[in-house]
Amino acid sequence: MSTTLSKPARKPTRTAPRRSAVIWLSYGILVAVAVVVLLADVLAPHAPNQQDLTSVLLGPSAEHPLGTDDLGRDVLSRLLHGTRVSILAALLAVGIALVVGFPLGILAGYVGGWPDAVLMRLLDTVMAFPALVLAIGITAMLGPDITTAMVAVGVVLTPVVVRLTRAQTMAVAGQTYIEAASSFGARGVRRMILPHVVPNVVQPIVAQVAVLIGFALIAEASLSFLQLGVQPPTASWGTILARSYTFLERAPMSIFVPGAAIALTVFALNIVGEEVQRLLDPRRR
Amino acid sequence: MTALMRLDDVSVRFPVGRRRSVSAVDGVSLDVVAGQTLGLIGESGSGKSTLARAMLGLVPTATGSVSWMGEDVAAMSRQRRRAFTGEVQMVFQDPHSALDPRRRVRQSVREPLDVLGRGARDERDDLARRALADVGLPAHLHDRYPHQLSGGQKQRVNIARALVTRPRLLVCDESVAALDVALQAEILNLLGDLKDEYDLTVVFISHDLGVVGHISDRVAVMYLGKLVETAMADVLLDTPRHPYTEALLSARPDVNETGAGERIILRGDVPSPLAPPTGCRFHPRCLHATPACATDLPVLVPVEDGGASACLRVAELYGPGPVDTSVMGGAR
Repeated sequence: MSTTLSKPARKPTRTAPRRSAVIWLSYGILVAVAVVVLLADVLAPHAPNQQDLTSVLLGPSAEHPLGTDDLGRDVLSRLLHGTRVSILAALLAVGIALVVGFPLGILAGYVGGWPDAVLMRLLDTVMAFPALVLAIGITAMLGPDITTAMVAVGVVLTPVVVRLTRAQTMAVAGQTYIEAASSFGARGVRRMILPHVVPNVVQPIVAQVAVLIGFALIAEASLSFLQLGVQPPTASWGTILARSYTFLERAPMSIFVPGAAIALTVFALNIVGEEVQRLLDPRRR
Repeated sequence: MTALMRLDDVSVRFPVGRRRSVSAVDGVSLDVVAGQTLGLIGESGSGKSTLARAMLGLVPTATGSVSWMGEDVAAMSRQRRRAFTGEVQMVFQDPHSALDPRRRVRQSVREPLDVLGRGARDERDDLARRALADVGLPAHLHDRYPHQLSGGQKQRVNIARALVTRPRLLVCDESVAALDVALQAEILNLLGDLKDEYDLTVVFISHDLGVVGHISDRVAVMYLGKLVETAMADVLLDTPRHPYTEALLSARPDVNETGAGERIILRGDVPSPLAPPTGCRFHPRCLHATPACATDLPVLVPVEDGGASACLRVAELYGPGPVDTSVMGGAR
């Protein structure tokens, strides 16, 4: 305390607490993933599906930094292209869950009454199924294809978004500032929902989105691993895993690399989600 | 004495469970006289806040009508209704939760103008700033968020937001209850000044007799959703004409007259509004109750000095009423 006392001239200003290395690392991982998604074609040293049967299951070398798989395809190139497929698939699923779930959650939470009751019972039915099993069921019915698979995952994720949005909306709808707004005639989507309800509801949803993207990434990997998602020869994190699983003993590299990519991305998403929630808190401004 | 707003037999019911409802406000008739400050007192759960919300049309009325300058609010056209909304504004109890935490206070004050389409778009910011200046909020605080202001400053913002549409009637729902005593006095004085400046009529709801007595011209006392007495403020504080008002007044701490006037201790609690007592709602706790009080429903009858009391024994207990019963206008 003596140091503060010795410098009385310094005005006490509120500064944001130092972000820890973990948060910066997480931002770094997500930026790297985004760059790969955008520039996979430029970054990849080889075409992802180009086979070279004279050099199969090689270890790391200058030409193939992460080795080759059982058909002689460059693992690094497949990983980079697979990143794009996996991330876009996860975004599709979460996008569907948000576009469907967020307005429904606001509706259920703000309007209440019978629309709320009907919607919630329907969603309880969806939630009663184990998420991945339902996704597998839907994909098996409609035929294996990554778009169908991720739409199915999106359907599975929708109740999570609806429930969270609804709970948050109900809390916000009971606030006095909502009543105050209606006391001077604010109602409807343009004057009430968009300016007052949505901004106060959105904070925990944003944090949840990061967690959901993580879940969707793992779901993509699981479904592709089961041959229900991305179809060969297209590379994705899941298909690389599935393929290299067979040759685990001879070429372990190609199973660890996509595994690590999934783990690191999900980890970074969780940390960043928490950080974004903190940043969105109005009390920080 | 013209009635700016007239409540006629207004009841507000809230559904509880299936086919049951609770009457938060039951058959209240009241005039809000232009230029006067009407104090509305009663203990928690007596229906004061619900009555205030009924005045603004924030809760639907089950029976009766609210009329604004002679026009039934429920029958108003959309356009008239918008004008009415701008002319009747409310200041809420909790200054903090009444402001959207994600908006700067200037945006919050500007919002009624946007919603009601008042003034030119580019002038609204100026109007908002002027309203904030009128309530004494320094200019450097206009772009703050609510959590960066103190309770008193936030309540000033709430008052500015209520005044920005230039209303004629301001309803203050326990507007100083959440503030400490020094701030209460500050905000009450501010309201007094603004009342003159903006030519306001004020309905002031409180459970604090001192506060109501200080700023009101006329006082209405509520018990369990019913109006039990109305009178001019000084008359009511001096000579209450309803046993409940009497009990309320005797509970007021008085630093000047220690021991003077015995304190009336009411028996029991406020009955549940789900099953209000028959007859006079106050009879189970009343010191002067007779068997008739349990069966007969008292109505507001005019008493001396332009007040009215809903007690069956008002003449017996407090002397005869005025001979001329046509002074009902003042009695309402």
